[in-house]
Amino acid sequence: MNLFDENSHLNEEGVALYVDALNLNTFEQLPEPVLEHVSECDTCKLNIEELFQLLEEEVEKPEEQHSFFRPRPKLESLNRSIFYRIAAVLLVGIGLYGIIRLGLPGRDQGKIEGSTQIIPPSSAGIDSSSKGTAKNLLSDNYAVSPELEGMIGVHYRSSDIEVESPTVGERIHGKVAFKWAWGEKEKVILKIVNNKGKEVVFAQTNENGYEFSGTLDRGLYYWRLETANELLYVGKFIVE
Amino acid sequence: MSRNGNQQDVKLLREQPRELIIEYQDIIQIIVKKYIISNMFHASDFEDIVQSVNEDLLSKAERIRDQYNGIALLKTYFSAIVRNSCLKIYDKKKREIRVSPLSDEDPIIEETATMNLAIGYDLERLKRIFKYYHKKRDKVILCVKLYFRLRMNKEDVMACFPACSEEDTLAFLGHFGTHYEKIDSKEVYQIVTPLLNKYEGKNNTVDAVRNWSEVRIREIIQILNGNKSESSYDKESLKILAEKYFSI
Repeated sequence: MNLFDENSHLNEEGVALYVDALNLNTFEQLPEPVLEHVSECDTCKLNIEELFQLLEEEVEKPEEQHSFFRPRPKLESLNRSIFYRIAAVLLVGIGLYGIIRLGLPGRDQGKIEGSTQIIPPSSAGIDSSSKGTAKNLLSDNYAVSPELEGMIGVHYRSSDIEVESPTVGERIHGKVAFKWAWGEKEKVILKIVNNKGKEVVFAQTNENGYEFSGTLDRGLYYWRLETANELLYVGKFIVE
Repeated sequence: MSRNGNQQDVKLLREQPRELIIEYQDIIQIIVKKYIISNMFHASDFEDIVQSVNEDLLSKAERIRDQYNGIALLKTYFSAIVRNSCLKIYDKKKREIRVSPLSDEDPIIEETATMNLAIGYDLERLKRIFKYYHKKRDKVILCVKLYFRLRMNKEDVMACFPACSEEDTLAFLGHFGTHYEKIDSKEVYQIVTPLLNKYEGKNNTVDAVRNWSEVRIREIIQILNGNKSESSYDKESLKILAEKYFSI
């Protein structure tokens, strides 16, 4: 796989691959040497940005599977993959059974602070289960939700809530600190949903913030602030 | 636009590379039109430019075929080649390029909606440019904020230095978590450099850090301006864009 030219810059195919990654939202699947080089090289950044702009909204977005980013697994590797996934599900099942039998609490999905009340999530984080085959690649966890995307950043009330963090699209490593400013005394409900719209965290608080210290799988998440009666804000963040 | 799938196009490239160039005429035209819109070429030169691109591509059809490894989508790869061909033609024609001064009849963009649209578009571009820095993204964001004296928050510090102590974070935010327009550049980097060195395990000088930031700012401006004959971004306008970006 040769993506560099004789001057150690990305060649035409290397630039094209990077642009494909931007278009397909598969940036994280790019080879590390490509990412590293581009981060240091202004020429390649310029080439990528220009090509991206030239193709933006004009050239059809690829509809079929990309040979690099969405490889069709060979039978052997597919079987191996299914084996590991089944094993993972069994292990999780055994673990959960053990926890229930012993009456031990599961790992906190969030902590109770002040009047913050956590209701256990209805399901685990991003859907990385073993159900699918190739379509359940990690990149699926970063695909935007058209339904939620249009709601982002809109403030839904005249008495504005000012959201400080996470900023829209912020990349999170570890804890997620939610902060907002709102003059009302009303209880606020915070919901985190994955990019498939599945609710993974539900919390209530009387405070202007909430820290989620549980574990979320890598991927794109949306979060909503609402009262018992209305929606206040929708944002998104990326867990890395 | 070609209605074939990537596989069929690749087959065509492998068997009849010249046919593929004919098949992809719409891509060539789209790219030339985009360059006309950006004032790199004059509209009246459209046919000539398309013809020149075709000649250039046909002369290296075999090379195009041989150098394609099937990693990127063929349309994207082909577009990259068309772009390079356009840039080559542009270099040749540089002296002949007519850049028309704004006439009385040219529309002056005043509508707020249009301007908002343009700003929204550039905000997306700035977001993408930050992404190009990959692992250095957070550091570049920190530098842009410092350079334009934009207010920092705890998340900025933690994103850049995940191991930053509470004490250092508070000290940092004590300087930059509020308005600090009046602190001069030298002082800003005198405060920041020890922190960068501490958490990056380096021993850079204040000037080296300041230069690094300067270079990144120039680089971002260059990427925003691209190869346009008229540069639209400078430090002042980048500051406005950055202020808008971080206020969202």
